[in-house]
Amino acid sequence: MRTVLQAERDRGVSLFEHAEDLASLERAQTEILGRKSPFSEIQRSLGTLGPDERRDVGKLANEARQALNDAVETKRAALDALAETALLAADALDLSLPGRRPRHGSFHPLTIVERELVQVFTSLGFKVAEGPEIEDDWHNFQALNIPPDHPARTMKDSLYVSVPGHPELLLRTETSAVQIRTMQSQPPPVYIVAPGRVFRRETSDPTHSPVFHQLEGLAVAEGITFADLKGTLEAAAKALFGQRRRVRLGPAFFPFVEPGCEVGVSCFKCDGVGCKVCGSGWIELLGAGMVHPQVLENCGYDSERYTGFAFGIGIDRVALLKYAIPDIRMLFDGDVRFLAQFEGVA
Amino acid sequence: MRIVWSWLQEFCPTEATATELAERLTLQGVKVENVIRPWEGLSDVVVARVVSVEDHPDSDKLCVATVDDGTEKLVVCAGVRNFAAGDLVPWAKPGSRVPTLPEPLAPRKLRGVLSNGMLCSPQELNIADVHAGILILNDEGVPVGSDLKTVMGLDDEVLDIEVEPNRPDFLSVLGVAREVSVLTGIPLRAVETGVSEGDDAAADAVSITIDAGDGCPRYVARLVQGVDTSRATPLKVQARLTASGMRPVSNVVDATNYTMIELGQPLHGFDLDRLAGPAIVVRRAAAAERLTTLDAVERELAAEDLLICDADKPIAIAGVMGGATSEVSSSTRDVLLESASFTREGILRTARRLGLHSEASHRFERGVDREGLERAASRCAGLITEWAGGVVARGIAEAGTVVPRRWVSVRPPRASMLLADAVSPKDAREVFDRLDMTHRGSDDEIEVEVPGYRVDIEREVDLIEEIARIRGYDRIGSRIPSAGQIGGVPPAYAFRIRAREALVRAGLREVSLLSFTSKADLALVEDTDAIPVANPLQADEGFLRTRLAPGLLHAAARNRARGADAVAIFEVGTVFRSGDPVQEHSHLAFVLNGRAAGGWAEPERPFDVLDAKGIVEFLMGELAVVEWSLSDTAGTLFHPARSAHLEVGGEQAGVMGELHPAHARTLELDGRVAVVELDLGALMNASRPEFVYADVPRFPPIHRDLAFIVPEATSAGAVAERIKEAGGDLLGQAVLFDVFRGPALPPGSKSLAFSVDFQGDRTLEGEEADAAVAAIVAALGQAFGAELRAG
Repeated sequence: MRTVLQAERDRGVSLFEHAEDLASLERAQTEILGRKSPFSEIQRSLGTLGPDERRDVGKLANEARQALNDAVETKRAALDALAETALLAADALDLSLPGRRPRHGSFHPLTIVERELVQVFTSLGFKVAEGPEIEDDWHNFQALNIPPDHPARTMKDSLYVSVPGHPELLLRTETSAVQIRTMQSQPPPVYIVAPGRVFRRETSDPTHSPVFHQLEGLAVAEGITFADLKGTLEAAAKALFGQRRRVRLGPAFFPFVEPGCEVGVSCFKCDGVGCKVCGSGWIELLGAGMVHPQVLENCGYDSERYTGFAFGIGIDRVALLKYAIPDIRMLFDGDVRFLAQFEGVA
Repeated sequence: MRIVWSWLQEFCPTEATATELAERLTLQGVKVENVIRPWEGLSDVVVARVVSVEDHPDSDKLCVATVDDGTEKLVVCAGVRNFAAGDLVPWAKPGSRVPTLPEPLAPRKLRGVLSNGMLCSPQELNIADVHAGILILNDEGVPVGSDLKTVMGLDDEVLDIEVEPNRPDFLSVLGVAREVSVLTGIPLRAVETGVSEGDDAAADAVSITIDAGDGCPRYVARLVQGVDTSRATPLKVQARLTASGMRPVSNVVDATNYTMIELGQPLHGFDLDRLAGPAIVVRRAAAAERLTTLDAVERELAAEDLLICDADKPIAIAGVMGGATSEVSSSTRDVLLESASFTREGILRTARRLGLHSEASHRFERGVDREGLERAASRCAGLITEWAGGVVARGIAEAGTVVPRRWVSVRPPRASMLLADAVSPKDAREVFDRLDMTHRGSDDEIEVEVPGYRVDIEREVDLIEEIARIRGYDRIGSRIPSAGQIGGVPPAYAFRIRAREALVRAGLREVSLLSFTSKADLALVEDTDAIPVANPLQADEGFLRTRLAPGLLHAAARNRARGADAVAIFEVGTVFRSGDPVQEHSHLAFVLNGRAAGGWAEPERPFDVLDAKGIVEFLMGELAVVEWSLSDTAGTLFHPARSAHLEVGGEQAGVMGELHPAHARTLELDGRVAVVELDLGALMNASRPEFVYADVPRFPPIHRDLAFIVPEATSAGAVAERIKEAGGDLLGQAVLFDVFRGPALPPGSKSLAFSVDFQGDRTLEGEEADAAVAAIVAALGQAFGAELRAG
C-alpha cells in the first residue's frame, strides 16, 4: 500500500508537472485524485487495516494528497498566468495611434488678452465696469471735454445710428464714456477698468478695423499723481510682456486728460535695443494722462480736492503685438486654422 | 504737417541733424513721425545749355536736342519741345539718378537715335507736380555745368509732424521753430516783414466793415498794385512748397501759401478790380444765399456761415474758400490781401456742413495766432513784389480789434503734487522764461500771460502740462497707488466668462465677429426692429446685428469653403434692437457643421441638432440653470421638424435647431447645420444663485430596465416626465438608454427603453419597486397608449 501511495504520488507530481494546458491538468487530476483513482481506492480501503497501520498509512495518504493538491494548484496558477500573458499579447495596441480625444475648444485671442489685463488690474484693486456700446453724444464726447465743434472730433470718424428722435446716439468711439458713467454713479474714490468694444468709421485694412476693443482705466481719489499712473502702467506692462519691461512716457494730447501722455514699453522682442517689431526699441502701447479737471467737474466731482489718472489700452493692439499677428482682420474672420493655434494659450 | 528743414533753419539755426532734432522734438510733444528726403534719389543732374533742337527723323512726338554742360556736347531725345536753343535745362546724363526713376540713367536708342540720358520735367525732379514740359532754368541764375542738387537746394529734408488738434501753432514753420528754440535755447530769428511802400494808402483804396464781430474779431488787408502774375515763382520756392505738400500755382497764390506755411496765417488774395465798391464786408449769410467757390462748385449757404462780401455780393466763404468771380487770375493787376482772424467754432461748422476741408479751414478751426495778422500780410506783400513785381500800398486797411491776451495762473505746489515732482516757484518761472511767456505774481501763484499763438492754454492744468513737458516726462517717478478696495468683476461680466469657459470645454472655438449685419441677413432671421447705421462705409454694414447666428453661419461657410471638415464655433457678444430708444442684449450663439466624430477610431458622422442639444445641456449645467425646457418650432430660419424655442423660467431665452436646408443651400453650407442662440441675460436670471449640499443616498437603489412601445410621434421627453411623475417619491432617476424601431414592433411604433432607479431612505423591498413599476406602466398606458415591451 505504501509503495502504491508513493508511486501514485510520484506519478501525479510528474503528470501535473507536464500538463500542457488546463484541460490536461484536469484530466491528470481526475486520473490521480479522482474517485476511481488508485489513490482514492487506498484511502477508501484504509478501514480494512489494523489501527496502527491505518494511522500510519492514513497519515501518509493525507500527506500525499496534500502534496498532490498543491502541485495541481501551482500548475494551475502557472497555466493561468501563461494563458493571461497570451491573451494580453493578443490584445496588443499600437500606442503610436492618435488618442481618442474630446473635441478641443479655444478662447479667442482677444478674450485671452482681455482676461490677462483684467487679472492684472483687479489684482491692483481695480473693479471692472461696463457701459453701453451705443452711447450718447454727451457721454462719448461732451463730458470728455470734446464739445460739438471741437476739431478732436475729426480725429475719429464716428458711426452714428438712425434712431428717430435721437440724433445724439452713436456707436461709442472709445470706452472712455464708461469713466463718465461710473463717476456719475458713485462718489470717489474710483478705481475701475472698462474693457469693451468700440467703433470707428474706418475701412478694414491690415491695421484698421471698424470694430476693435479697448480697456479703459480710471483712478480718481485724493492725492493721485502722475507717478501713480506711471507705476500702474509699469506693473501692467511687466505682467503682460515680462518683468524686464520698462515704461516711457512722452507728451501727447487727448482732450480728456491734461497732462496727457503716450506710453511706450521697452520692446519685448529686443529688450529695447531696436528691432523689426519696434524700430526704436520702444513700442507705443497706449494713451494716458491725468484726468482733465473739466471732466471731473462735468461729473460733479470737486476737481480741486480730487485728482485722477486715466488710460486706454488697445486690446487688439496688444494681441497683435503679443502673438505677432500681422493683420487685425484675422481677429474678426473666424478662421478655425487661426483660432486653433490658441488652444491652451491662457 | 511737413516742415522743410532748411526753412526751419532760417528761423532757428541748429547744429543738430534733422534726425537728432526729430527725436528731441518728439519727446517734447512735437511728434515727428518721419524724416522725409524727397531728393534722396537725385544725383549728378547738371545744368546744360540747349545748343540746337531738331525734329526726330522717325517720330512726330520726339525731338532731338544737342545740349552742352561745358564739358561735353551730346544728343538727348525729349518727348516735348517746350524749349529752344539757348535755354538752360536740367540734364540727367548717363550715370546720373533721378528721384522718380528706380535705376541710374544709361544711353538708350529711341527710334534709331541714341539719347544720352534725359532732360527732366519739374515732376521728375520732385520740384512741382508739372509734367507738361522740360524744366527751364533760365531765370534761376544757375551756371551751366553746375550740379542741380547743389545750386537748387535739392538736398533738403522734411520733418513729417503729426500735429494734434490742441497745438495748431505747429501747423507752421515758425511755430515749430519756436519749439526748437525752446528746446535748444537758440534764439528765434525775426520774420522778414519789411516792405517798401508806395504813395497810395490801402485804407483809401478799400473800405472794410465787419458786421459779424462774433465770427471775425479783426480783418486786416494789404494792397499790392501793378503785379505781373505771368512771372514764374522761383523754382526753389516751388520746390519748398511741393516738399511741404502744397501745389505751386502762380506767383501770387504761391506767396499766400508760402506765407501760410511759414507763419500759420491763412491769407486770401482778391483781384481788386473785380470787387464792387471796392469794399469788404464781413457778414453772416442770408438763408439760401449761394456762392460759386474756387473749385467751380455752386454752394448753398446757411445763416450761420460767415461770408466775405464786396459792396454787392459774397466773394468768399470766410476762412474756408474763396469765390470764383474774384480770384486772382492772369489779368489781375491789383491784389487785395486778406489777413483775418475768424473764430474757431464757426469755421468748423461751415467747413463740415459744406464738406469743404481746406488748408485755411484746417487752421482756422483749430485756432490761428490772432496777433499775427499784420505780420503775415506784410510778409506776403513783400514776397509778391519780389516774385510778381508791383508796389505795396501804404499801410493797412482794417476793421475790428485784437482780442487781448489772457492771464492764467499756476500754483507751484499744485504742480508739484500733480506731477509728483518738486517744482519750486523758481523752476516754474524758468519754464515760462524758456517758453518766452511773460509772468508775474507771487511764489504761491504765478500768473502767466498767454501769447496769441497758444490757443491751448486756458487754465492752470495747461500750464502744469507745460512745466511737465519742458522739464521732461522722464523726471516723473513711479508708484503703485493703493486702491483700498478688492478688485473684481460685476456679475454679468463673470457670467459671460463662465459661459465662454463652458463652451471652450465643450470643444468649441471662440470667434469675434463684427457687430454689423446686412439687409439680407435680417430678412433671413425675419427681424424688423434692427437699428440702421446712419453712415455706414459698406452696404453690408448697414445695420447693427440683432442676433449672432447669421455672422456665425457666414464664418462657418468661409471655413468650409477653405476646406475645414468641421466647424464648431461660438461667440459671446452684444446684439442690438430698437426700443426706447435702443436695447442691447448680451447673447451667446454657436454653430456646428461638418464631421462630428473626432478621429480615426470613431465612425464618421455629421453634426446634428442633438450635438447642439448636448452642448446646451452641458452649458446649462455649467451655468447652473436648472429650469429650462424646449417648446415648439423656432421660426423659418430652422428645419421645421428639428428645432425648438428654448425657455427658461417660462420665458423665451433662445432658439435651438438645424438650419432649414433651403437656407443652408443659400449660405453654401453642406449637410446639417446645428445652430443655437441664447440670451445670456435670461440665463443669468435663471442661474441658481446659491448651492447647498444634499445628502447622498445611504441605501442601494433597486434597478429596473423598462422598454415601452409607443406610437412613433410620442415625445421621449414627455414619456420621461410622466415616468418621473408616476414613479412618485421612490423614483431616483429614469434615463433613456435606447430607441428601437423594427419589424418586431407594430408598424408606426417605436420602443423607448429607460433605465430606472428606485431609491428610498431605507433598503427597498422588491415588491415596492414592482408596485412603482406597475404605476408607471399604468400611467404611460393611459397617457400615450404605451405598452411595456416583454423582455
